[in-house]
Order: sequence, then C-alpha cells, then structure tokens
Amino acid sequence: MLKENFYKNPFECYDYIPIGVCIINSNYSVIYWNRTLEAWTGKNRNDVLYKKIFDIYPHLASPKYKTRLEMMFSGRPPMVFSPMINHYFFPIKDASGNYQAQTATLTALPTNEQGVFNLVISVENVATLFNRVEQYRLLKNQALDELNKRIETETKIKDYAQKLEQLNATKDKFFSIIAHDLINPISSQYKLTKILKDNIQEFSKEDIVDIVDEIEKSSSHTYKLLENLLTWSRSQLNKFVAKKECFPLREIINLAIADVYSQITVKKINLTIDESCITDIYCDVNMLATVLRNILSNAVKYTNYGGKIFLYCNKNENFTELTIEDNGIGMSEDVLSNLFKIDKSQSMPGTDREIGTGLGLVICKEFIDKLDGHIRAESKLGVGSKFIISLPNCPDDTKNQSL
Amino acid sequence: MNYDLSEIQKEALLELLNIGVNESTNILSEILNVEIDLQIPSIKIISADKLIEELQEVGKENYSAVNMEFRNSFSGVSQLVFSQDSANKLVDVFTRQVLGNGDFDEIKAGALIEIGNIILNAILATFSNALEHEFQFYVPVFFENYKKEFFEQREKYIGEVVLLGKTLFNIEQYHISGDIILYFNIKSFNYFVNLIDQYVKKIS
Repeated sequence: MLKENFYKNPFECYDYIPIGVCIINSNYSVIYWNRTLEAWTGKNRNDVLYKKIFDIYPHLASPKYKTRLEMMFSGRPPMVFSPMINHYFFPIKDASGNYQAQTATLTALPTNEQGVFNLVISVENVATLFNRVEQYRLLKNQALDELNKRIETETKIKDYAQKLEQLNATKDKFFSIIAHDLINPISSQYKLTKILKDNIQEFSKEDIVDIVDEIEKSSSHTYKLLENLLTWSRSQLNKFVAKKECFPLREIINLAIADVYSQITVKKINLTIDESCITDIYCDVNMLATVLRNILSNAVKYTNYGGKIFLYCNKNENFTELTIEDNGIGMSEDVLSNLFKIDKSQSMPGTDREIGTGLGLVICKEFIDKLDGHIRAESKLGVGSKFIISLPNCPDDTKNQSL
Repeated sequence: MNYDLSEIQKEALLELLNIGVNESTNILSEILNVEIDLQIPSIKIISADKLIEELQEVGKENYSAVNMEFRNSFSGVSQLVFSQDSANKLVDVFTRQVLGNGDFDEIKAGALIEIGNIILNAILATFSNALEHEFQFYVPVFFENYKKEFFEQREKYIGEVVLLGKTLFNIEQYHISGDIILYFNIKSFNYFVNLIDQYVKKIS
C-alpha cells in the first residue's frame, strides 16, 4: 500500500485483504466498498459510495437484518451472521449461478464524534467450505442410509432364515407325527381287529371285551391326535381368525371340562373351580375352549389317581389370569423350557401310560398369541404343574376399572 | 476467598442479565419467526475451579462454547456453554434442519456462534449501557470439544471469579438448557461489583 494513500483514506488498508469489506455510516450510507467486494459483486465503488445500503441490497431492510444493523450504531459488541442461518449477507452469485455462502461480521467503529459509530461489515466467502461440508454431510447421510438399508436387509434375511427354520421344524414334526404317532396306533388297531376277526370263535367274551377296550382306547387317542393335527395344520395355514367377543369364562371352562370329564371320573381326580373364575373374558370361545381342553387333558394325564386339579382366576386392570394347577408328576426344567416350541416339544407318557405328541401345547401357544394373551408354565418334578393363561378383559371392564 | 454478593447486588445483576436475554429473544424470534422464551432464573458467583460441578449438564463428555471478550477498566470473558447434545439440538432448531448429532462441523459451529453472539451481545450491551461503561468488544470465538480440563484451567488465564447464570430455551416443543458465564479476575470483579453498587444506588 502506498503510504500517501493510507493517509488519504485510512480504510484503504481493507483493499489488501481477501475479505469483502463495506463501511456504512449511521445514515446507512456506504462510505467504503473495498476491492474484494468490487470483484465479487461487479459493483464499482464509485457506483455505490454514498448510496443507502438498503437501495443496493433491499433484503437488508427486512427486520431480520435491520434490527441488528440498527442496534450496532450504539457501539455494541460485534454481531455475526452465519451461512447456515442466513446463507449470505450480500447476495453474490458465483460462476455457476449459486449464491455465495458467507459469514458476515458487523463491528461498530467509533468516529471522531462522541457516541457516533460507523459500521464495518466484513464478509468472508465460505462457499468452498460450505459446499464441502454439505457434500460431506450428503455423503455421510448416503452412507448412513446405505448402512441402514443393509441392516434392514440383514434383519429381513435373519427373519426369513428363522421362518424357514420354523417351517422346517413344522414339516419335521408333521412327518414325525404321521410316521410314528399316527401309524403306530392305526397299525395296532388294524392288528387287533385282524386278530379278533381271524380268531373270534376262539376268544372268550371277556377276551373280546378286553380287545375292543384296547381298540377303543387306541381309536380315541388317534381321533384326538387327528383333531389336533387338523387344528394345527389349519392354524399353520392361517385359516383361524380370532373372532373375539365378551363371554363368561366359566362357560368356556365347562365346555372344556365336558370333553375330559370321563378321564377325570376314571382317575377319580378332585377338580375344583374357584368362584374367582365367574367373570367375562374377551376371546374367541372356540379357540380358548381348545386351549383349555388341551391343558386340562394334560393335567388329567399327568395327575395320579385320586389327585387334585384346581382352577382359579386373578383379575388385574387389563388382564385376567387363569391358572390350572395340578399336583401331578410335574416336569423337569429341560422339558419345561421346551414346552411351547414346535421343534423341541416332546410328550411324556401319562400316569396311566397315556401317550401324546407334544403338539397340543404348541397349538395352545399359537391360539393364545392370536387372542393377544400370554401363556406360561411353572412346574416342579414330583410336586405338580401350573399353567397360567393371561387374557384381555372385556373392553367395558377395562374402561370401568380405570374410571 | 468469598465472592458472595448481597441479595440486592444479586437481584440487580439478575435483572440486567434478563434485560439482555429478553432483547436477544426478540432478535432470535425474528430469525426463527416463532416465539422463543429464554430465561435466566438464577445466578451464582463461584470460583472458577468449582465451575464444572455447577454446569447445567454436569458429567457430559464434551461442551461447545461461544466466547466474547470485553476490555476496559475492567475486563473479562463472556461465555455461552452447551453440552454437545444441546448444541446440536439448538442448531437443528435454528436452521430448521435435522442435522443430527454427528460431527460439529464449521458450518454448524457458525450457526452456534451467531446464536451465542446474539445473546452475549445483548447481555454485554445491557451491562455497558446500565453501568455507563464503555468497553472494547472482540469478535466471538467458538470452542468445540470443550472438556472438563479446559474449565478447570480457565482461571489461570481468564479469571478466577465466575458469574454463572443457568439458562433455559423454550422454542416450540424444545427445551434446551445452557449456561451463561462471565469470567473476571479479582480486580475486575471488584470493579464490576462497584459499578453494580452505583447502578443500584441510581435506580433505588
């Protein structure tokens, strides 16, 4: 800078910095416009000097800018305008026609007159930095999106794998039931009827009654098995849609008991139903009856002659818990932990050597899930078992209780 | 050393701080075009080495801070401190974008400088006017990843006495808290208290 120029105009030092500098006086008139601003805006200093800044850039007259410009003339601390909030202070377009991102700093500059300030507006071009950060942010977001998509795909693959595993286990179970649980009793029924037919003349009346008894037991078991198999396969095909309604729980319990009553009588089991179960429940009657039939049938199966089965309920704010408790032979922890799993469930022979497939409890779990309930079991070997079913209360009950 | 102030001195200081923040909320509201509520419900005078235990969001890993220095017969540094989470949230609100909790890049830092600058500017200007004292003010500076150690070392070079005001921004559904801090050395603090006394006398 030439020394004489500096003394002529002390602001001229601003011509030698790569920052746009404009100085305005308290009348908002431009009193300095540096070379950098000339280059950026294409406005020659002689064309803008002594013009009001609002005439050059009308957007600065909006309150967002003017309020802050105005207050600066009282000599306040510096004021910053950032590119993220304002994008630019002076609308300057770059070669591609985009507005230059700027950081502007307003500094009050004392004049020779007491209490009168000029305003130095220094504008930094941060377009390169701004664009890079924007690009980086874009890339980062793209990478994050991609990562999320991958995670989503991996989760889907895992879900599919789990479903396939489940389907495979279902198929295995299906074939195992057909191969063993169904073939064996039908084959023994066939053999027994053949023996009876071929040798009927040689058998005494008592022998015939014994053989027919065996055939009846076996057919009854096969019938139940087929019934469960059919229910289960229909459930696998999603053919069951729960038709939920409010229904007296006690009546559903009675429906289930009717089917196992003869077994209860034969084993002389003491069955008690607590009064707490006289309540309405929100469920599909047939589904819950199937569930209770299976659990009661198991309770009878694993309870010794003269044993006890106790049903009682506990009503909470939103759910009712029905417990079916027996003092039968109980289960080991291993059996207990796999009760409701299709690939792991197995049946133990009952106290009267009754046989099963382990399919019943799998159906129970599926149905209770469809009824938006929960089922769990507690058991101790030699002490007995408890099955606890939790089902939603009737909507009206829930409303009344919360009132 | 006891830096305690009388109740009347504290009340006067709190009033001046709130005049400052009220003015800043008007500007911030204009930028966002929504109602902003910013309050300083209480202040404390503590020694700088106790500062970290008193911050709004104690125990945070990192803080972001905007500093503005002022000098004359008494000098100091004004500072607005946010936890990194609050700083990110504040920038998101003001830029109407969800930029997330990623790196606090220079552009986001610029936005926080502008917000902090508006608040500190208003507070310092209020002090300057009310205490009838002119200062030399310096441009705001941003500090990222401000850690516990920085706070503990601050008294060594910017002042051992700290005036701490806890702030709470209410912008739409957001509640963002931060701290306004003024650092003084003892000599400046005594000078400042003296000016506060004169202000109290003037208004009472």
